[in-house]
Amino acid sequence: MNGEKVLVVGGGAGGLLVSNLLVGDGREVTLVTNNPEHYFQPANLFIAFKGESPESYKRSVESLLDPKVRLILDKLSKLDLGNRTALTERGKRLEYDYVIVAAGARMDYNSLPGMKENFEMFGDYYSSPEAAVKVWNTVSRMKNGKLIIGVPDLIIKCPPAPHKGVFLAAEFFKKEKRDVTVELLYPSPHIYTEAELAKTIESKMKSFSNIEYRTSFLIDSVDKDRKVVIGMNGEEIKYDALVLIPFHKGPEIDVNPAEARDDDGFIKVDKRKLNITSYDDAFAIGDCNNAPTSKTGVAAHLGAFVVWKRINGRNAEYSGRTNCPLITDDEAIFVISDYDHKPVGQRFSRLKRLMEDLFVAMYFPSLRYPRKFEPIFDVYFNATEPNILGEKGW
Amino acid sequence: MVEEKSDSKSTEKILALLERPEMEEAVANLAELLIAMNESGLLDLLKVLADRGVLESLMKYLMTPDFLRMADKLDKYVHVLEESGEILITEEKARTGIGGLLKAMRDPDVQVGLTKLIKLLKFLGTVKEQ
Repeated sequence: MNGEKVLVVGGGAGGLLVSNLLVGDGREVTLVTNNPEHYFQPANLFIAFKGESPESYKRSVESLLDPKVRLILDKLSKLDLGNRTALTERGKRLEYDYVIVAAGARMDYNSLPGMKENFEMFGDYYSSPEAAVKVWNTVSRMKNGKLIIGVPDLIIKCPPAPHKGVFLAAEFFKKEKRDVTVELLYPSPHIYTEAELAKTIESKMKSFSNIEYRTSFLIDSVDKDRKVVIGMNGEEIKYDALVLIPFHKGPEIDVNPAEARDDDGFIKVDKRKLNITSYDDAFAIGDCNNAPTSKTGVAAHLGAFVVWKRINGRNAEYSGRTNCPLITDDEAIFVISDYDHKPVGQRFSRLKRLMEDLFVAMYFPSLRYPRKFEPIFDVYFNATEPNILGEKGW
Repeated sequence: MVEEKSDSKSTEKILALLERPEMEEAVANLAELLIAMNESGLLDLLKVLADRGVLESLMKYLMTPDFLRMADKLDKYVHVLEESGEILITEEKARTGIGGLLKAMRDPDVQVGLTKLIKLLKFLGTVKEQ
């Protein structure tokens, strides 16, 4: 394995983990990212609805990488899978024996009329900590009226994040004794895509006097002048502030062959082996691939371990496991599912909220030292596999 | 090798912290704490936890579906134990005979309680068989 060249694209959780794992085997690893900073994405919620400082959740990519990894701060513009070469925006040509694309999803604000202008006005808690600060600037000043969190599409990172935003905002307004209602506009027939879990979430929402929600609401456009969200059925809902969850698309990399990407630009992979379709030396992990599971840090994390093991000749497979926390201020549930099992039944509890806090505390060290954390995470993932928790749930 | 280094903010941050006036007292306290932890063996224990897989063993012991479910409901169990414990330790002056028992049976809460008791007895019977 000495001398094998590995190219990793992206400085998110998946890219950092797989780089640190593979360089530990003695491989020559190069990571290309155009962002010198890595931020803990779920913290955007704490910035947007609790006013926390973005700085607490940021680290330089360099500080999270094994010093043996070669870091190139540049944007990867072209990837030629047949010739095993890549080109950066500044013209650097790179060759590889293995490539792992972990470039994340691209936020798209142009697929819905009025979305871009709305993003410029109110921000969101999906694209960046700076955009989350914009949300806080609005939320913290609202004295009355209605804050709407709208979900136009369900292919999004952290599927319970819209609900988390609703809960955290509602708790903020409640504590501050402000006359603000928070309304969730959701496109599926239930308040969550899975009906049983939707009941649990719905029941929790009903326990808040300042939360409203509409299901099967398909957003058509936003009229910022009249401050209304317009549904595809023509219904208009008035807002005082609006946070829209952006559409997600595949990364902006010119991949050759073009068939390696689907219509939305996501990279087509074998959903268990995570290799790019028709290539055994190229992989895509995390939000940038088209695996039929949630776009979440856990998928990137587990995907990094699968790819590391497969490159080392082991027969590891990704089960599609998710573990998305849905938090309120004091309680949480975890959306735990995989390719073969729908989300297991859950109850909101303080233990799960505490576990989420512990995970946040371990986040950065677990990226830098993945081998040390692997046994600990494995114990948790094994104990909470959907088929083990089963009907009883958690 | 890092080809294009970003500015090292960490060093600047450490230097700024070291310059803070309260740092002297904090460091002295930390040094005293380290000495005490070393003498008591706590430092060695932490080293073991961090390096030798004891944490992993502890996690394996604790992270079972049953334990997770129990820990998840611990606040509810504590409530039930506290309420029933209070009844058990409080001196009871009232006496209940057959008549009182029959009368109590008309209370919906007692009826639910009895159902729970029967469920519990049924489960205890299974444990005996195992």
